[in-house]
Amino acid sequence: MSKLLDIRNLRVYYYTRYGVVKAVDGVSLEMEKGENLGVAGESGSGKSTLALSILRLIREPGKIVSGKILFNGEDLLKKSEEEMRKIRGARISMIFQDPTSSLNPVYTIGDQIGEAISLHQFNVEGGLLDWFLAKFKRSYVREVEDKVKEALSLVGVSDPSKRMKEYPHQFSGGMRQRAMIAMAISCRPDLLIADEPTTNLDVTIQAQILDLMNHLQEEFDVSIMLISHNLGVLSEFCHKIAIMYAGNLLELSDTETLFEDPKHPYTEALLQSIPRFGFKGKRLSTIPGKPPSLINPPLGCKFHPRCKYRIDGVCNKIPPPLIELDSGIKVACHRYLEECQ
Amino acid sequence: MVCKMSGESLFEIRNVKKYFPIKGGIIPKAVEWVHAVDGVTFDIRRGETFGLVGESGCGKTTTGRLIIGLEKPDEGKIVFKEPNGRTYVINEISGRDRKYIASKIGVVFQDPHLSLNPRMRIKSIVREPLDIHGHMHTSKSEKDELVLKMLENVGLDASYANRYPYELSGGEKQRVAIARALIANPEFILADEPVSSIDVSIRSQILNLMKDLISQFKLTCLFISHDLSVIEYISDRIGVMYLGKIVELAPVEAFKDALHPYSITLISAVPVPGKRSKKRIILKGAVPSAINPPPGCRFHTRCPFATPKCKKEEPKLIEVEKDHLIACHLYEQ
Repeated sequence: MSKLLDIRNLRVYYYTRYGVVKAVDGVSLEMEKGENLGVAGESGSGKSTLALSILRLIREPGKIVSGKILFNGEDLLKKSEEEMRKIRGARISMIFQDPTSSLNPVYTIGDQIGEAISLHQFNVEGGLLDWFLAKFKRSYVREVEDKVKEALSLVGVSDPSKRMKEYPHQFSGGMRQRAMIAMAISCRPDLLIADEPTTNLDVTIQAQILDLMNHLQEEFDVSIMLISHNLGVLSEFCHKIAIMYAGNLLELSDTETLFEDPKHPYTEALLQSIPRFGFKGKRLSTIPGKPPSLINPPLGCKFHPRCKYRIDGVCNKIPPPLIELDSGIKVACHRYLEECQ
Repeated sequence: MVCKMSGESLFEIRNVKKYFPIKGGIIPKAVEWVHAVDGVTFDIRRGETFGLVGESGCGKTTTGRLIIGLEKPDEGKIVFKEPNGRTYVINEISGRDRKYIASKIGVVFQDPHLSLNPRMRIKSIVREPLDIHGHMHTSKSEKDELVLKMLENVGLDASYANRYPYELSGGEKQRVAIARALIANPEFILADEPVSSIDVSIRSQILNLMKDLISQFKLTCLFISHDLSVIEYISDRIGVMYLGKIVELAPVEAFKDALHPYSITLISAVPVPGKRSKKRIILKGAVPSAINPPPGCRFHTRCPFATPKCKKEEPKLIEVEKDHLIACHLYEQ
């Protein structure tokens, strides 16, 4: 029972008026307890949709079509909306890309962090009215305040009792992301999903946030799913990395092996095409073409039109299954199919 | 390449300052000033690609806009030099000279979704600089031919000419923007974060394309980016900006061993794929506000090596090695 998260053959489609967008198309993924998993992919590869479907936050016209999401052995897709509310924020929480638009500008930072705490730890359920009424109970207010202060000081906000009374616009970008993290960890979740948490931040601030997340993980033993298009960020933070492309999982490998010996042709090409600091001189190789349309994806392997190893008659007809190699690496590519058999 | 060796400059930027007002009060007047660019001096040499790097709000985009004359500096001057010895002061010229200079400059902006007019076809977008910059004697069919040739140069075939921007992906749009910047035969290209909004698998295509075109057309380029790896890949010389000032200027070969504490932390903060156990210097706090920048060295509030002198005296850019300039009290002896 060490599996924290077990996603099996998940399909999430968006039914738009232009056609069905297969954002996540048969993804199977496992996450052990205490493990940091990185999900890498370009925009439109389905990484954010994957994250949102774990929390069942997919909205119209999107729909989870089939599959299973087992969290500690329980299928999240079979839960009622009420049960899900108890899980979101308490056992699985999420940090979004843009802290500016995910914080409410008209509530103080303290109120917003306190909301999660009062909902999950004091069972102040329901609408804002209940919440306001609860605020008249002195002892309760003080307790929530203490927890907010604790959460804020954990994420390195200095002078939390003053700053919790401030509004999001008074916080800088890095500080807002810290407040988001404080909110996410305030209820000590088992799983933290971070969707591009540092993409909008400057590099020096990004280093601070990554350092903070590392520190929190050690302290609270929370497993983190880090979603990013930046392979550098993932390589420093994650034990395992999953590479997604056009709604499919192409490769799941531990971090060192992925960078030393990438198996899937897409991973290989991607690694050769990103400029790395300190490697000046070599010309970058490029991946020809562009990411496929998700409404009319190519038949067979979705990467085959851009792949230099493609086998005609196979890759353009049959979608490759995700297979496990001897080394424990999972890869979806026809080149390794024979090796496996 | 010969020009690069001679070190002859195309642009000379001398102590340029640009402050933006923050207006307040009932009768709006400037109550505070944002010190966007605060005394910047450097040269852009003919034939080189100069990379300007820094965090958001450090004034790199404003510097770019000042150089091409989209903003007027409050102080200092920017000189454009022609090979025949003629000089133009960008912030003073107007009329015909201004238009002439404009024809020598091409610009590629960050977001290709915003910088192409959605109601124009690709061929009209690319042809517009030709229509504007005195190519009156070129016939329409000749212009169209030039447009197709330029589209081919950036890797787009003729079928794109009649399309509209919404039919193109981000990478293709950026190719169109590059074609538009190059069609009037400029000498200088300003590329302001041209790959920041482009997907990783396409980014290297655009970077290589820009690199090829720069050498093919013998262009000088000012490449602005916040991404050190991109800057290192494309530039010949690198300038690091912090809060409106240049703190380090170095040729790319010397940049890996940068000397200014800010450049060092910046480099150490870049996550490099495949290097897990990297020692990082983690700075405290965020970049101070540009409204009231700290006195003395602007970096002293976050610098691990700050001394009392740094709080009072502003360090000057000094040359420590050939072509390698640093503004830091640590290196003054």
